[in-house]
Order: sequence, then C-alpha cells, then structure tokens
Amino acid sequence: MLSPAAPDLAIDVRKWHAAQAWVSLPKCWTVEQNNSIDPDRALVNRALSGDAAAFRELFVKHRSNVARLVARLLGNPSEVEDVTQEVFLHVFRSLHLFRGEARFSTWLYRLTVNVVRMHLRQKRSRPQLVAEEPIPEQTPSHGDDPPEAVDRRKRIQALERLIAKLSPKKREVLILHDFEGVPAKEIAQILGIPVLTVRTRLFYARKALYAAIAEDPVLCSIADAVAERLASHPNPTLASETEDP
Amino acid sequence: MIPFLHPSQSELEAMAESGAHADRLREHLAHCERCRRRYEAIVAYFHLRKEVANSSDPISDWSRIESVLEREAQKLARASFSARSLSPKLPIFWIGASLSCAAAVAFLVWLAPPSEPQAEVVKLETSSPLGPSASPEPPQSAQPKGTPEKGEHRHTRGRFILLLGSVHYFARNEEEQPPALSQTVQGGRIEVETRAQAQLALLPLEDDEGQAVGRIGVASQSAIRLLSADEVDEKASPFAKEGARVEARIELERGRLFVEGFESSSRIVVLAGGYEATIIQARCTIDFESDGGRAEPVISVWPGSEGQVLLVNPQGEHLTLKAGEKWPPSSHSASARTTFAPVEGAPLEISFPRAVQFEVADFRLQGGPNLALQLSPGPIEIRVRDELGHIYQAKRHLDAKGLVLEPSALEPLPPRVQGFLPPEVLTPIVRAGRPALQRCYERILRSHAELLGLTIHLAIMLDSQGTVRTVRLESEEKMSEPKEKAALSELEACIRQEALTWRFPPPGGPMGFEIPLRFSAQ
Repeated sequence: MLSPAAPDLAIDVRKWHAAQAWVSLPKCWTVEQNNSIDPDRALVNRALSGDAAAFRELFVKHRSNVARLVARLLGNPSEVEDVTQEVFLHVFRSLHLFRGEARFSTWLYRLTVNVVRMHLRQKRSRPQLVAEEPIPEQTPSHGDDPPEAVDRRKRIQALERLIAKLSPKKREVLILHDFEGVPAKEIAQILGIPVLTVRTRLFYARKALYAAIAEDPVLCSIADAVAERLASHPNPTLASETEDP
Repeated sequence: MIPFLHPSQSELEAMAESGAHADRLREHLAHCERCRRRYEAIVAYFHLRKEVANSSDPISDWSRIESVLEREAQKLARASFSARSLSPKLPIFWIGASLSCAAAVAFLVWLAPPSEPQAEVVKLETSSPLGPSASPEPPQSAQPKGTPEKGEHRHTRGRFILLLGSVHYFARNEEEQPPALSQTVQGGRIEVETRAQAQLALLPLEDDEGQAVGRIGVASQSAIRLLSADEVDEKASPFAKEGARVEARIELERGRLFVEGFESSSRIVVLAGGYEATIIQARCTIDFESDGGRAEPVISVWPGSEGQVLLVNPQGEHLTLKAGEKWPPSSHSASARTTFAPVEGAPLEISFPRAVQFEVADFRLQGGPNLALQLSPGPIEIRVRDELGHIYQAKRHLDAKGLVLEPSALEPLPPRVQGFLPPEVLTPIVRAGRPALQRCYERILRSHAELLGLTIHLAIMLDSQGTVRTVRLESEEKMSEPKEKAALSELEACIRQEALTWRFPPPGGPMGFEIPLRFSAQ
C-alpha cells in the first residue's frame, strides 16, 4: 500500500503509523527516513551471502567510528580495545538479525551503546585502576612533543573528565550528537527514546557542561582567551576563529 | 542598565557557531557579566569539540581484534556445521546458522592471505644449528614474505646446546639440576620462566621403549614461548587477549605442546612417543598421547599462519601438514625417515653479570647472564649488552678446545646516547598493559582488603632496544603491618612481572619514565 506522503515509496502501513506515533513528528520526517538509502545495505547483504570482501569493507569502514564512540562513552582508554572487540563480536554473531529497518550504522551504534552500557554495569562493582600518562625522565631535545600538543592534550583530557561526570543518559546523547555528529532523529532510534527527549537531554547536558567548563582550571583558560578576544573583537564566533585561543 | 532580557542558551550557541543574533546580543554581553561567562564557556566548548574531532583514533593496531574475530569465525563455522547435522528440522535456527556460517566463511576467507598460497614452505638450511637437515625434504614452494634469503644464516653454524635466559631443568625425580654446556638429559622437563624467551637445543637420546625425548632448536634470533599442557586453552592461544599468563613448560615425555611466535627460519623439533614433529614457521597445537609407547598425534596448524609441520612416525613414515589444515589422527603416508646427526663444534662459554644480550658471530641472542654454545672454530667477535645499555666487546680466536670468557675479558665500549620516546609512543603501550595490572590488583585485593585505595609509582627503565630492563615500584602509602607489607610485595611482584613484558620501540639508548598508578575500589 502506498503512503500518502511518500508517492514513490511503498511503505507498510503498520510501520508507518507506528513510526509516527513513536517519534511524534510530522509525516514528512518518516518519509525522509524511509526514503534515505542505506549505503551499507548492499554490503551487509553481500556479507551475509558469504562475500569476504564485503565483510572486510564493513569492518574497515566502521571500526574507527565504533572505537571512537566506545572511547568517548567509556572515558577509559585502556578498555577501548576490549569493548570494541566485544562490539564486533556481537556484530559478527548477530548480523543476520539486522532487518534493514534502520541504517546499518544506526544499528551498529545502537549495538555499541548497548555493549558499552553492559560493560559499565559489569564494571561498577569491580576495583578500578587509574594510571596516569607516563612521564619521561628526560625532556625532548628537538620538538618531538611541542608545547601546543601538550596543552591540547591536557584540554581534551579535561573535557573528557567533565563529560564523564555527566549522567550516563546525558552523556550518551551529548557524545552521539556533538562528537559523533549523529542527528537527533537517529539518536532517538539508537537509544529508543523520543526525539524530544534527545533534544532535552542534549540541552541539559550542554548546560551542565558549560557550567563545569567555566569552573575548570584548565578549560577556563580558553574561556579567558575568548573573553580577551571578546574585548578586542566584539563578535568572536567559531566561524571567525583562525587560531587557538 | 542591561539592555534586553538575558539570552537563552540556544541563542548564545547560535551566536557562537554562526554569529546569529550578534547585533542584538553584543550590547547585552558587554554589560552582563553572567551571560558573558556563559558565552565564553560555550565558545570554549565549541572550540574543544573541534580539537577532539581532530584527535587520533583510539586504536591504532587492529590485528588483535582481527585475530579474535578470526577465531570466532572458526567457532561459528563449526557450530553451524554441527547444528545443521543435529537440527535439520528447525527452520529459524537453520537460517540463522546458515547465515552465521556464511559470515564465518566470509571472515575466514578475508582473514586469510588474499593471493598468496596458504602452505608456504621454508627450505631449511643444512647448516641449521640443529644439525644437518633431519626432516624429510619439504616440497618446493615460493619463499614467504619476510623470510630470510637462503644462506642468510650460513655462518650460524654449530649447535646450540644450552642456554640463554632463565632455563630450569628438572629431572624425573623433580629435582632441579643446573643446566650445563653439553649436558644431556633424559626425561624430566625444562621450564622457561613466564613469558621469558629461551634459546636452547637438547641432544636427542635414543628412543627408549617409546619414551619421549625433547629436542628444541632455534636457528637464529627468535622468540619462542612454549606453553604447558595444562594451560593450553582458549586464553593461552596466540590469539588470546594480552594478559593471559601461563608458565612456559616443555613436557618432554608426554602431553600437549603449544607453540607460537616463530620467526623467519627458526623451527622446532619435538620428539615424543617415537614421533618426531618438525614445526617450521607455523603456529600450531600438537597433541601427543605417548603413554606406554603408544602415540596418537593430532596436529592442527592455525589458519593464517604460514609454514608447515612435518611428522615422522615410529615406522619412519612421514606426513606434511601445511598451514591452514587439520591433520587427522593416525594418518600417515610413506617416506623415509632421516636422522639427526650432531654437529661437532668448539664450546664457547660467557658469563657476564647483568648481561641482557649477546652478539656472537653474526647472530644476536636476547637474555643473560650466561651463554653457552658450540660454534665452528675460527675468529669470533663477541659483544655483550648489559641492562643499562652499556656494550662490552671482545675479539678472540676460537680453537677446537673451546673458550671460556670471564667478565674482565670484555672491554667497555663508549657509552651510547641517552634514548628518548615521546609520551605519545609510551602511552598506548602502557594503556594496553593496564588491564593486566588491574587483574593483579583485583586478584590480590580478594585476599588482602588492606590494599583498598593505593598509589604506586612505577619507574621503568628501557634499554636501547626498547625492552623493559628494570621495574621499580614505590608505594605512597606506608605499610607498617607485616600482612600489609606482604600483600604489597605480592602486588608489586605481579605488576613488575607484567611490566617486564611490555615492548617499546627502540629509544636509541637507555631511558626511563614513571607512571603513577592509583588503585581504588568501590
């Protein structure tokens, strides 16, 4: 049966209504979602039929994204490899369960989030080890590790610390949206929540983060630099940024 | 007076991102301290987002995950096959199993070398330290990538009798005997310390009513780890996660042998129950049930590895197993058996305190502090490197009587430049090793709750090759109780043992760095 809002596309009516009720969005959104072509679909089909090259392509294509998402959700670099491995083992075992109702990347992200949640749940009762960065006894003699790179690493670590303090629900939305660039609608699918909830969580996550940045001794230096620039240049935006603050 | 109402978070974000509302908000920000601080934090956050987006991938080496997936593919393929034969009437399961099987097959095909033939063969040098080629002539084939050209090791003549590194020999009565040059052993076992490397050869004895004799040989510098029969399991496989710790042990009489980590032309020969297995550049498992002289060998070479295993049964028949195949038990094809003939050479013995590496003739051996081997007589140059990276040298003529070098005979060479590795290089390696350290802590915490919450400083010294030479630990907490001290020393020993296994790129000279470790538990 044809959907009234999607003349080119045959859509199962039950899915159509379910999707509308679920996301509480205008009809055109559902049409866009269904109309979008999953670039991985063909690869998945080929992989399931035993095509080795397709499987390899899927793995290579998505492994960096998965590892990055895992790293950000965990906030502990030492566990990234293990958890990423766990994700791909799950992908491997349950690829045949992928029905193609969402994009493969959405399915993969959802699976990643679930594996990370499971890992964090298991980890909660276990002792923790915090190892800091190695401190070489001697300093580099010829710019192997420029001060800018050290500062940048410190800033990134400080931000990661603040993000880790957010509640898991807020953290997931913030990371998926702001760092992985996943649209809110897709996050809703990944996390199984309404889009409105995604936006609300994103709003409050950012709000908490802004407050924390203003208080953080490492990151407030950036804010101070912005303040200085604000004084000299009344409208500093990211678009006009050409150098580090 | 502040113009306008306070802007919303969204408005400030829009202004920070694209300059929207700037005209309207600029004046407000100039007067409102609170909103200005909010705006600064927003701009800072957006800036940080860009920096994070440009940061490098958290995983740089995917080989371990690929290996695990490879094993999973094998497992799934086997499970699917079994399920198919057992449950032909379950359509849903059947479909799932088929798809899993297809995926598994796809993965296996992908992980296998794409165009090279699976069964690569390395033709052995007759001047191998094991003596004249004892194995049946392997079939001719292209030389695999990364293997040395024929004749590269032609100068490494002689037969390594024993020993380098920490090798312990236990006789049949479990009494430990210090291994000595040219010592022959019968039965018993040899143990290599956990994760240590050992390079040795044992003289084969005449088969004695089916009793096995071990003979392990290494043609050149190589890393060999032999895992004990008891410990052979998933965790101990070469594809296992880092941190699986087993004691290396070679059972000479019976049991299961697990071999990994071969390089170039190295090979290993195992004699058990009348069988003789020569493993050439392959990662494999060997099951020998040599009880009472009867043996049923099952040999499996891991897919993805190169090389082959040659097996000669007690009747002199031999069979070649190529990488990627599984050898059915008790299946043999006929061929003549060849024998090992020892090569005579002059003994050379060096003992040097704190030695970690020996360079003799044109080969290099890791370990110390003793070296004992047999070489063809002639002029030789010996270099010894100690744990601090200092090098000592001696040039001598080795005659047929042999030579014993005392430490005073070695002269120090000028010290090398201090090495350096940037934190970007050190950090990933330390991070990768952290799970093992955590396991140490968890294990000891189970029996010693007094270690709850602890900070330890780990000071590591690398030699010029990037090998961890010394690991020093210092606890911030003062442990006064004997029980606490014992727990701490147990933890330190475990951490030290793990840290000694880390491998770093060559820093160009000895260097050190510190890592503070904070242990806490909820």
